[in-house]
Amino acid sequence: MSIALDPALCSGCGRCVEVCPGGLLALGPDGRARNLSPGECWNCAACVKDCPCGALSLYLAPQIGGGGATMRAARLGAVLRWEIIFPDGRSRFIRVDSSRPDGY
Amino acid sequence: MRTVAVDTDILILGGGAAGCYAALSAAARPGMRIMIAEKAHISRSGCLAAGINAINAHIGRGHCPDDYVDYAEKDAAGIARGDLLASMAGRLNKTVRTLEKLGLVVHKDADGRYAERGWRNVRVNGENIKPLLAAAVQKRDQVRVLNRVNIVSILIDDGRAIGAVGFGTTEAVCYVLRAAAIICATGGAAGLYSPNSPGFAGHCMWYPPFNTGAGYAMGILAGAEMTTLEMRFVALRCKGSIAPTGTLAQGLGAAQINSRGENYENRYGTMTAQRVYGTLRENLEGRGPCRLHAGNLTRPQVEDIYRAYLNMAPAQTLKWLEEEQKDRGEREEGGERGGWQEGKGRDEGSCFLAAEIEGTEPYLVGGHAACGYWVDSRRATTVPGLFAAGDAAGGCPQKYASGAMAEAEIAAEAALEYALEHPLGRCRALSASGAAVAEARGFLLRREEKGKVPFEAGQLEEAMQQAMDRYAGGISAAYRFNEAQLAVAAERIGEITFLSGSLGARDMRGLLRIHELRERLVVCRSLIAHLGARRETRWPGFAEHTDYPGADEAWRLHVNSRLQDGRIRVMFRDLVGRREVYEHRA
Ligand SMILES: Cc1cc2nc3c(=O)[nH]c(=O)nc-3n(C[C@H](O)[C@H](O)[C@H](O)COP(=O)(O)OP(=O)(O)OC[C@H]3O[C@@H](n4cnc5c(N)ncnc54)[C@H](O)[C@@H]3O)c2cc1C
Repeated sequence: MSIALDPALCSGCGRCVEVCPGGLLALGPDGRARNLSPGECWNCAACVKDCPCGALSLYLAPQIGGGGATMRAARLGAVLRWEIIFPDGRSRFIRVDSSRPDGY
Repeated sequence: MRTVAVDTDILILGGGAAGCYAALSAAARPGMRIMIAEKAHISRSGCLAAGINAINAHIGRGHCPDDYVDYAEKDAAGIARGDLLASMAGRLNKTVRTLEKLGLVVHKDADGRYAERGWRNVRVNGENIKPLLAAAVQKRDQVRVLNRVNIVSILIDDGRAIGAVGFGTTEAVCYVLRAAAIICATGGAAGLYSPNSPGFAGHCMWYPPFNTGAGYAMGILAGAEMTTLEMRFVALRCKGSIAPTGTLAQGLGAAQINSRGENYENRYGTMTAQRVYGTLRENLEGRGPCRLHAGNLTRPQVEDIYRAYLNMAPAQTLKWLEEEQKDRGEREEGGERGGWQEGKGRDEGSCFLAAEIEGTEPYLVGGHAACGYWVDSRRATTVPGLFAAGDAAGGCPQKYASGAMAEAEIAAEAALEYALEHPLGRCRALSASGAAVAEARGFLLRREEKGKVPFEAGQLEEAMQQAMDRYAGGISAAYRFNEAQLAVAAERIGEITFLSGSLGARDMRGLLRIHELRERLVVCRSLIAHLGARRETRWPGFAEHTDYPGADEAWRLHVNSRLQDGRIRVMFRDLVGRREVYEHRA
């Protein structure tokens, strides 16, 4: 369900097709990624994290309380930088450095 | 459809946590050829796709493996194999050290020791745990990985497992894989019951919807003995996102609170099933919704939690951020929202973080509960040549990621020995594969035939899930069932199985869907038999047999089953102690 794909940003590298644990993504005839079955997504965000172009973002379905915000990720070395975009256009970033043990 | 035949020494079905680790362990022996057949791609497949933020099975300072066995036996209300728990627990810490060597970042305290979260838990930055494992596997020349191959059947020749048949999920290829020893590591079963949120969000579930119980089904059909399927696992999770709650509960000591603000945990007990049961009762008795509530947090603590969830269940962080944004928006507008709400607290300085919690639909997961293949102490199933590890293997609950891998190492050692002692001679792999191949061809050809059923696999899947939900103790039945209801469930599953034989597939993806449906149906049939066979209620919260409420000491035994001449034969087996060695008797 919860992956939004922006074809304009997709470079057709196929990384998302490889990592989806459900095999739900494929490259279309135009060489860009497409979602074969949006309703079968597990929400794991593997594709979102591995997309080098920021073409994929996660959102919460309205059925599970989603309010329309989307979340995409960019990998900068060991840092995964998440960008959350709210429906009113505001956004915020959260960085997770996987090399540095963060306490919580 | 092309047929490709491949020979190997050790064939591993499923390249998840257990499958990848089994391959690494087996590759320690030079000269052995190892093959993983994985339906997705090992880089992110299985339970670990999203990552983890704690290793849930580790023996902390001041404790020993026996303590872990005690804990797991108690949590399973006594129905667990001591021998299996002890051998797994003895290898947990070594497994975590190996993972650290592969690149997993384990949190440390000021003295450089593992940062523990309670005595069984260590904190990790595990977002990348699966890619790390996959990269280690790919570095081994001895290991060949077949990605995008869905295994549907185990080949048996003269009573021995000699290989498996699979179909490409994208390419029209049939694989006939021959091996001297086989390790089943296909995980557990999701999608047997209607999920929390049916429809478009139907796959927002805890257990991976792509783990369909294929390994259980193949084993059942191959005549393997299965155990304790009636011990289903119901997870207590954050509503909507179905994200794990451990980070809040164990990490921050968050309390389970009902709508009246009362902490209800101690009323029901703190074992895994009791926590689910308590939440269920509170809701049934009109005191819902229930929440997990962590108070008095600093803003940096909240930010840390957001990051922790991003490392394993990003949807939950998104949910909190949306709530926080909404809250902030309303404050800016000067509005007041009354009562108790989720998200960040209002007062400056101190925040709280809360999440509504609910029980999921029941899953079969041998890494959390005790269901799965009945194995001997070395993880050999009752089918010679076939071994099992991880969520597919029964008798050994509370494995989690590290335990699944520890068990995979044990299974790999046994499989190696078996393969060396029983090299594969001439065998009838191709002819043994005939039935599975003919059946698949039938599904693909039927598309053009007249007289096929007008249904799609997805519709029959929904029918199966609803029958299980209502008559075999799903969410809408509050996890309760009785004998009369189980009889209805069995009949419905029989009818749907019959109908599924006439489905048609447009392409390999369609074929995959039909196989997934049919393996779930096989698992449902055995599950129903097990639910009826245990005439007591041992794990309220996971399952409640309303004809037999309450636990009964006479049922301190394993309920096992085997498919024989087309019928499910139920049998009972004694518990096995932690110092015993269990071997199958012919
Ligand atoms: C959401 C979630 C969060 C978790 N978090 C934690 C945690 O924080 N800490 C912790 O210690 N444990 C955690 N666990 C538990 C841990 O992930 C599992 O115990 C462990 O991954 C089980 O390993 P497995 O190999 O049996 O199953 P998996 O890792 O799921 O592997 C099964 C593999 O088999 C493949 N497969 C399935 N069917 C077929 C088929 N027919 N043919 C070919 N391949 C097939 C699947 O694609 C998959 O790759 C979590 C589990 C889940 C579901």
